[in-house]
Amino acid sequence: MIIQQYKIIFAGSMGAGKTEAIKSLSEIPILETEAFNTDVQSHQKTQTTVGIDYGEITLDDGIKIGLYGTPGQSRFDFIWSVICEGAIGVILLLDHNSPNPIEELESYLETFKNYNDNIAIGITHVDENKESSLQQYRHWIKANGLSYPLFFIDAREQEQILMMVESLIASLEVKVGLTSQGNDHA
Amino acid sequence: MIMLSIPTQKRTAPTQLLQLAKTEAHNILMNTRGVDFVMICSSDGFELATVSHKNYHNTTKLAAVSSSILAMVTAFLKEIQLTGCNNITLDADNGKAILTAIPAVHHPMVMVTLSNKEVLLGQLLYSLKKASQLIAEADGE
Repeated sequence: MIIQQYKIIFAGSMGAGKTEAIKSLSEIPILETEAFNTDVQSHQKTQTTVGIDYGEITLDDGIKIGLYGTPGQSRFDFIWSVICEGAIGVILLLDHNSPNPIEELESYLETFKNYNDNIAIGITHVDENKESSLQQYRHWIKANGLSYPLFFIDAREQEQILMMVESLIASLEVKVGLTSQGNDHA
Repeated sequence: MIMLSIPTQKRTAPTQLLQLAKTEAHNILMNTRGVDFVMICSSDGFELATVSHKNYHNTTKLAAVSSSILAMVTAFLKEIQLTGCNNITLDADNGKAILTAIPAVHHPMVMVTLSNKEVLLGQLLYSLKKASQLIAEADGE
């Protein structure tokens, strides 16, 4: 039997909710690689992912998706390219509370688009920082001529994360469809 | 909900504990023939102290990779119902790398030891185990 399984990556800044998103979506107990966080300047949370988190979800049509979480800190960037190998897309989560969320968005996009360009962006913790504009993300994406789907989400809400997963799959289907159409015409 | 209540300013290991860890690392380096490099890093991948006979490039990256490998192997062991990952020995053609967990309650750390291939592995593993226990006990005091 050949087991067909797809892979989606959760990337983005420290404390954005990558592990939480996988937890809320996974139908199996997730494999976590958390360590005690000593870098309080970057984030106050007590635990931080230092390896690869793993969870699974089966979609309505029976397709199984492996959910792979990455550490957000750049010192763990050696994992990023390895983990993105063979993925169908990347869910990029960014903490709206961060001092420079646009800089982070730019930096993570710059890196991860080299591994996989099927990216959906999720801005988290939006309710904790109402002073900072949510429009800034849309403006930045537009100003840079990009067309990545953008979501404002709560990583604990399964439906919101699932919407991002579906958006990635839909984007992939459109890309595959366009490619096969192009081949038909060739 | 029970929360781990360590004040944020105390998240990093105190100087006294680090000094003890560095002394233990130094003893292993000096007393075990074949050992070239011993580094202490935090379990979240920051280099804390290093003693060596040889220079290795990019020790900050080495600390991050080591903490990551230890966390992943620990997760793997948990999946197969084995508890605690005390050390990982990597045996290469031209040397060995040993990652030792220091299960200190307040400041968990990782000891990274690099050696040539002629090292007496039993002696080294025993020394690493004793050092790890000593540091962990000091953190609990």
